[in-house]
Amino acid sequence: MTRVRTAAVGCVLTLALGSPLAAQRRVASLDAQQGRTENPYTSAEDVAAGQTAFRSRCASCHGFDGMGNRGPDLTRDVFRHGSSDRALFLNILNGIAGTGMPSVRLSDKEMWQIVAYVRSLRRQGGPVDGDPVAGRQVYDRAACVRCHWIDGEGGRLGPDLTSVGWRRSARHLRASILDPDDDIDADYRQVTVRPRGGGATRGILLNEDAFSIQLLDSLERLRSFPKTDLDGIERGTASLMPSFEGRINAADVTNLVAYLASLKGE
Amino acid sequence: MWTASEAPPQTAQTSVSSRLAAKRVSAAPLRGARQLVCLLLLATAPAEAQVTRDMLIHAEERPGDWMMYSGQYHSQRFSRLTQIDRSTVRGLQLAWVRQLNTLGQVQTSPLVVDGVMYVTTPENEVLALDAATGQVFWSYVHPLEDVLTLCCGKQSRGVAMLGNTLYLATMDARLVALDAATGHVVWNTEVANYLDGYSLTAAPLVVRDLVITGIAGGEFGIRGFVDAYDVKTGVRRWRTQMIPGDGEPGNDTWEGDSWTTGGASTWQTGAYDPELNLIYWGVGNPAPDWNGETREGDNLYSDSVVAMDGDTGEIRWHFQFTPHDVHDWDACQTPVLVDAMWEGRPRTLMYWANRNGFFYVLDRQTGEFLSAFEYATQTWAERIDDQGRPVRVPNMEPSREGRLVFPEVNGASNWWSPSYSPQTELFYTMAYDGGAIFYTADAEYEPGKLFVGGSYARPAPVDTFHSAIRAIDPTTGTRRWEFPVQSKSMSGVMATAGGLVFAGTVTGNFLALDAETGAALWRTPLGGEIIAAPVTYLSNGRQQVTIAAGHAIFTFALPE
Repeated sequence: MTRVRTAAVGCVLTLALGSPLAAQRRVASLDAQQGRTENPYTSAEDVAAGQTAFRSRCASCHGFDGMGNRGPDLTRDVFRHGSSDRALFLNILNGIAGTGMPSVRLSDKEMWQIVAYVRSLRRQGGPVDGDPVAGRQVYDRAACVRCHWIDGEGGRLGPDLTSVGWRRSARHLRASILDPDDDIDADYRQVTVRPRGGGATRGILLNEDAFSIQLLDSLERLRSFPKTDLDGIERGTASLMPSFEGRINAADVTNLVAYLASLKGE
Repeated sequence: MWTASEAPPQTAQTSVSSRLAAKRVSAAPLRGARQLVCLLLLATAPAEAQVTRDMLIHAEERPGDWMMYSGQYHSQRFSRLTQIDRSTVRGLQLAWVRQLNTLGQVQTSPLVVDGVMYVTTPENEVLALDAATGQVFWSYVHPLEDVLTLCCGKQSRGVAMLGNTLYLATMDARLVALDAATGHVVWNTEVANYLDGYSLTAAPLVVRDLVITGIAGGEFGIRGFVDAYDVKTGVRRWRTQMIPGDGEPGNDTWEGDSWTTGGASTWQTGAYDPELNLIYWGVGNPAPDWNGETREGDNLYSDSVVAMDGDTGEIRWHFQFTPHDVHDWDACQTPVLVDAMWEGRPRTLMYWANRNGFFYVLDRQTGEFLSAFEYATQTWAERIDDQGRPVRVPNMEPSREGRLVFPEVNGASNWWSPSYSPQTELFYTMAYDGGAIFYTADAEYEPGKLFVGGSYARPAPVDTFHSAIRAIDPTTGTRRWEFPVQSKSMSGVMATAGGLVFAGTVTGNFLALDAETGAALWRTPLGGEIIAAPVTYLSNGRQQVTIAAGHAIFTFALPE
């Protein structure tokens, strides 16, 4: 599921996170058209060039060292949308529909060099600490299900976690639990609208332009408001998710991260 | 006749989805992120269903919503809304446009429930739009492999809905349930292995607690079926094969083991009669399409309509329009169910404008053949006999040298949604009077490969043949009027209680015709092929009409 992002966030965010539009677009590539499967650029110089390109193009989501942040950890060598060199190449070229991965417009050579760099990262990332089974119990005790969705059940005000283990690195999951305000998913920003007749409606911002605003309200209803009917719009800077720092102990946090990292949507 | 004021109350502008109250708690505003702990304390009461089984059964009484592919189970694509009528239609204005992320043919027939519109793109993206503005609430992109086994390009004609869940049939032959508030996946079930030639393009149909879907792949030598899945779990409850198995009645209508690769796909949404508890579905061509030499016999249930028990899927009756078809004239049209007088007594009827050029009237309780007449140019049958079987013109089969036959391969009509107006008692459809030269060739079955046994060519440019929106009186077989369109058009049509018929053309004209006379009362050029069917509904109490054209969704309304 990909929510449409607002124009207000600007093209920087669109570039960084991708959009469903970008992810579907097909970009001309001779190597893609000719079905090249082997990476022709694998020398040490290519890896170094790939690292440079990666850090400017990819690191904002996948981490400076490729170990993941908002985007998946790329050191695991096994990827949900294909683990071959060609799959990596095509995913850079075309983006991945339905995810935050945008199409990155580079030359074939630059894309292959990034693939070479990603390959050089393999096995740098260690296994995720903690016990996923115990983590599931933490998930239940902390009532995460009230706001999060896994395998067809749960709340709608937080991100769908069904395959979060593919999409997010363990360290990003940990940070999201302990300090959710630090990096709020653009799809889950909170907003409060105040209609002219009084009252207020709070929810998750889904979409907005100069004339109207759409949100999923706290009762999980899709709502749309013409801005001419509103007295004001308040944009929260904090996540709807409360911090669990100090509310669950360190071992439980580790186990919860292990559980979330195990969620592959399979 | 319905008017807007008589229609069920429409949700207010600021409450487009009020029935989706998933949590029954106070709506007091929340203050401060830290107080959002209270979000954790929200009671998780069962969600109030947005679309209930009862609402679907009585859909015609809720014209403010458009809750299933053809509007109602009887598939008349008729609306009781009357704000837009013969006198007001000239004031119809563009309300909004939503460009879609596709370069494909947009065939979607949107659903609109509580002011939220759900559309699909040819790439199996689902979007939830604000029906008042066209703004996007959410989108879901179904992941597809680069290689699919599709005869005719990527297509998706819409979703079904029950409760708070949408049902999407995908081109990789899966059925996906989506949460209507978020687009989150509820369940995702494989219907068939797409690598063997199976795919799904039609909107499913919800019947009771089942999601009914057909299957596409008639050009790949599949064995077609109609499936029913549990709405909650996605577990398959029944499968009815459209080609009888070894030893079953009808299997002997196939030569040898040709039945195992006989096609008989079911790629268009069917209809349902809640009182008879019968599901009606059209069945596609036998395979290979144009070479019938290896499959002598009638080839049941290809090119038929089947009536299935709503609980078990058991076939109660069937009627075959084109026995031993060799022209690819799938019976994948929309069954239109009408209760009307027939020869002096009320009957439960089914109207069917078939791809083969004939219009059929059947008794939908028994399958009894009542009448058939030509509604478009055809050269392959002298007539339809008293039993409903065609009396064929000799030498109209495809040949190695090629034979000119009318209708052409795409038919006199096709999946292009027809409409029936209880007011005028007329049946409306896009019709095409073109012909094609049909050729045979050898065909060898290989899983996932085209298995068609021939080809076709047009003897003249497509636009040199006649194409028209036709109003047909099913009781007399007469054509009340026609509105010629150029060139060959494949849009659906929709009649309304405002005395109008909405339709589109391949050249991008969106039209409102007088349902009685066929006179064009309103027209607007949209600059892109219209190959979808219109829908109408209320948005904040105003009637709107929506059509897909080109790569966008266009919505029209009267001035405020």
